Amino acid sequence: MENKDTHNFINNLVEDESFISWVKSDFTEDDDIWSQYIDKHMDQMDQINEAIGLVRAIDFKDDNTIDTKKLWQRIESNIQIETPIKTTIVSSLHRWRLVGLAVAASVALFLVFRPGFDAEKIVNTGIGQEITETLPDGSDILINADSKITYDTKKWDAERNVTLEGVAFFKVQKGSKFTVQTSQGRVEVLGTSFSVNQRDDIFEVICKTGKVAVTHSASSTTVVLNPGDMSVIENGKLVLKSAENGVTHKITWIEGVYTFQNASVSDVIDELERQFAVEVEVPQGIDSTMYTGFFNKGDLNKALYAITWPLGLTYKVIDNKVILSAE
Amino acid sequence: MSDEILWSKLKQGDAKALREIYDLHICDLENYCKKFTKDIELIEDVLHDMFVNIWQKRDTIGHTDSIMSYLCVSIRRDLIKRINKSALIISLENTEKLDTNFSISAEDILIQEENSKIDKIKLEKAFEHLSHRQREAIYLKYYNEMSYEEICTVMDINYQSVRNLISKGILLLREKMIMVNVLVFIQILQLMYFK
Repeated sequence: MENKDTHNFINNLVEDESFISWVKSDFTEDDDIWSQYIDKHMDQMDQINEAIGLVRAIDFKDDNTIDTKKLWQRIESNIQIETPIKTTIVSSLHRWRLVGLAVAASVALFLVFRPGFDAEKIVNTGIGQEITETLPDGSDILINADSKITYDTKKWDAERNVTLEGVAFFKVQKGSKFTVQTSQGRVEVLGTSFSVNQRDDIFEVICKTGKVAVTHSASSTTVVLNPGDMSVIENGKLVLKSAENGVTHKITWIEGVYTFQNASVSDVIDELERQFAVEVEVPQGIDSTMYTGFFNKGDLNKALYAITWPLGLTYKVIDNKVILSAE
Repeated sequence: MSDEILWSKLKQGDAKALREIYDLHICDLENYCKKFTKDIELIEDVLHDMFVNIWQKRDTIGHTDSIMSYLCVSIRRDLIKRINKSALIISLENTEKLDTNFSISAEDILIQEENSKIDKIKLEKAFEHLSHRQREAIYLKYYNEMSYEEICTVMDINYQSVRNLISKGILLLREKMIMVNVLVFIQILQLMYFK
C-alpha cells in the first residue's frame, strides 16, 4: 500500500516545527529554507503535498462565546489595581502664571533638544531600577540597574544601532543588522535574544536564541555564539564558552536571579549594592575570597543570607546600610 | 513585546501587562477550555480565578518565556480538578476518562487548493480513532502552534512522550484515512460486480 520510507518521509515533515510554522503562516515563515527544500525534492512532490495538506487540514473549530469585555470587568473588579489618580485643580489666578511657565519650558526644551537636529534618545537606570525600552522597530531592551543605553530615533530605519554602558537583555525583531556598541567591543545580530554585560573591563555576552556575532575591539577578534553559548574576556582575549554536554549558559538576571561562579566577593557585593540600592560594609581581607552561588532580587535578607552563609559571615541591616562581620 | 518581558512587567506590578496578556490569550484559552467541558459558567469561573490569581500572586509566581503554556498549565489543572470534583483522588492522568471534545474541523478550501488526497470528512472520521491525549497533543501542536517543550509543560509529561503522542497520532490518522479509502473502494467494487 505504502512503503515505510514514504511513511516516515511524510511523518517527519508533518512533525517538523519549522515545516509546521511555514505551512501555518501561509508559506511566509522560514520560506527560504522550504523553497530550497522543495527544489531539491521535486521527485517527492506528492508526499510533500500530502504533508502540507495534512498540516493545513488539522484544524479545530474556533469556539468563542464568552463575552470577554464582561469577563474582564469582573476580573478587574476583583483585583486592586492601583491607578494613581492625578487631579489638579488650578485656580484662575494661577493659570496665567502656568502659561508663562509652559512657554518658558518649551523654549528650554527647544534649546536642549534642538528638534530636527538631534534625535538621540538616552535611557538611564538608577541603582536598584530595571526599565524596559521598546525601540522603534518593536525590539525590546530590558535594562538592568545602573546602566545606560543610547540610540538615534531618526536614523533608526537606516541603521539599528544601540550604545550600551552596563547590563541589558535584548530581544531583537527580525530585520536588518542590529548592533550593540560598548566600550569593549560590539555585538551584531539579525534577529534574536541575548544579554550583554559590559561593566568596567567585563564584556560578557550570552546568546539565548538565534545567532550572535561578538567583536572585541582591543584584540579585534570576533566569535559567533549559538543559543546557550557565552563569550567572555580572559587575559585580554575574547573567549568562546560554548554550550557543551547539555550545559548551557543561561541569562538568569532577567528572572531576578544573580549567579556567580568563582567570583570575588567584591564583585558579588558590587552587584548586591547595585540591585538593592544599599551600601555594604565588608570586613577587611575578604574582598579577594572566591564565591560561588546565587542571590535572588526579591528579598534583601534572603540574598544576604545566601551570600554570607557560605562565607561564614553574619550581617546586620540598618536602613539602607548593611554591615557584614565575621561570626 | 516578547513573552519574557511582558511577564516581567506583570511581575513588577504593571496592570497594563495583565490586560495585554488577557487580550492576547483569552480567545485561545476559551477554546482550550471548551475541549474539556461545555459548561460556560465553569469556564468563565476558571478563567476569572486564574487571572485574579496571577495578579495577586505576581510577586511569587515563577518566570516564563511562554505565557500561553504557563496559562494552559494552570487552566488545565484547575479545570480537571473542578470537573472531577466528585472523585476523591484527582490525577491528571484521568484526562483519558474525561469526555474531552478535541474534534477536528478541517477546512474545505484546502482540498481543491492543494489537490491532495485529504478529504475533510475522512480526516474528521479518522481523528475519532485517536486517544484523548493524542488529540490534545495534536491540538496544542497544530492549533496553538506550541513547541514540543511547551506541550511537555502543559500536559506534564516528558519530551519523548509528547513526540510519541504526536507521532503515533499522525501515523494513526494517516492509516485510518487510507483505511477509509480502501473501504470506499471495496464498496464500489461490490456495487459494480456483485449486484
